[in-house]
Amino acid sequence: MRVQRILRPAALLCALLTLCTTFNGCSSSYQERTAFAMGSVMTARLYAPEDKADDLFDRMTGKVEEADRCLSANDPASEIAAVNAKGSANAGAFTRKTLGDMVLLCHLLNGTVDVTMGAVTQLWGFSTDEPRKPEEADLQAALATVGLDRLLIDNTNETVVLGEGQKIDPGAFGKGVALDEISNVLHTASYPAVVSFGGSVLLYGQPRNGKSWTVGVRDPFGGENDYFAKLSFTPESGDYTGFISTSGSYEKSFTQDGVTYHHILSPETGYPVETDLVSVTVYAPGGLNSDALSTACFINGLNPQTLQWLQSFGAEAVFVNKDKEYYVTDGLSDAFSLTDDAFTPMAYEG
Amino acid sequence: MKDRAGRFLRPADLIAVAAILLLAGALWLITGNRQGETAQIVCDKEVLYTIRLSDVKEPYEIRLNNGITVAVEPGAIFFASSDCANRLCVRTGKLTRAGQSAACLPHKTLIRVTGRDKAAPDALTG
Repeated sequence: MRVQRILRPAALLCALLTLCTTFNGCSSSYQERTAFAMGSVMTARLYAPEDKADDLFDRMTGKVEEADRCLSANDPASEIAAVNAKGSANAGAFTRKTLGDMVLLCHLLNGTVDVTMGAVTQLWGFSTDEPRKPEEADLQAALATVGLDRLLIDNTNETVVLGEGQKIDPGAFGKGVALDEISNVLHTASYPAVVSFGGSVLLYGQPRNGKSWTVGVRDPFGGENDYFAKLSFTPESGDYTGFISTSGSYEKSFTQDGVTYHHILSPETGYPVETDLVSVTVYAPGGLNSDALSTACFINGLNPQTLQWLQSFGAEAVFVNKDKEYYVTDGLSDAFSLTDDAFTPMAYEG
Repeated sequence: MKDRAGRFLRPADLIAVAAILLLAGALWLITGNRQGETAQIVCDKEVLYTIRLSDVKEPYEIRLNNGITVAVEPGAIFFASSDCANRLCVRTGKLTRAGQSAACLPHKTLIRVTGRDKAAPDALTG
């Protein structure tokens, strides 16, 4: 009797303690790692054992650095920088392949985004500490160099040849390319992970305990950590891969003579695109596609052609305009949940 | 009677169980609170400081050797000053909730708050 009286509560206590420990264990089930690359922060939450996480993250950053060494327009030692400086230069297989992917995407998006915009973006200097409005004559001259048909990727001679004065700016695609490379690494390692790279997000695998991945969509009118809605994804398979990118006019801007200029430039005019939109978030099965689409959708605006683009890439999107109104494409409506009531649905009849 | 008493909980048992439940609950609350929000200061790839924000009683500053000063307060952390050009890091303001972060890109320095806020998303896009 006496033994039983002690045993029963003791057993209960054990059970409860186990519960407590499990609870505490959940919060630290991932390893968080951070690196600085491509002028952005890259943060990875790896659902891997601690002893595997470092090696995995090293391989991921290794891929990013490799991509950056090829594609960076700002690093004078990169292959693209050499092409930009000389107008024609050797380019390795990765550079040629990736540049080809970018050119194809630009074509498919009717030149709404253009990888040959380098001369124009350089004039505005949004990636420097001193962005400024260019002189009109300079801008027109730079704009004349833009054109996908003047860019030649020569696989026989392993070179990239530019048109007169032309410059490549892979800026709108770089992080997407990097996330694609990272997803390849994760596929071989098979640990679930969430990777944030300067506002672009890669979701890989299934979250623990049948939960969903959640991604906050930044409040374009708020601070860097504010979001107005959440997207939830519940993957059906272990090798699920999803990419989310956002293009927002709030990201980089400056004010000169009372006019505010944002960094999303129209390849048609060379000026920041005039639109009611303040941000477009795209969910797509590929990183490069997701990055390019968010920019193209922002520039082209919410219209049937834009929605057609999204559809043909198997992508979905959230559009937000100046009046705090949002539009969510059909395929994303179940994943979307509003967290800030100040935002209201947009009256758009697709 | 003796058999029945052996099989079923008696008042004394019930009290014991209730006490254990209370104790476990209290323990859970204490450990939960202690876990709370944790702030990290990361330079390049390295975590330089890990600070339990709920344990901070008095505000203090951490001067990094790269021109950045990070301020720590009870429940909050933020970039107090930086000698970088754009000072975006300082403009981000105070971080108080799990999932928030601020970065100084020129100095490759990041501060972030982690914790087990169930409402916090896994990542932010924007």
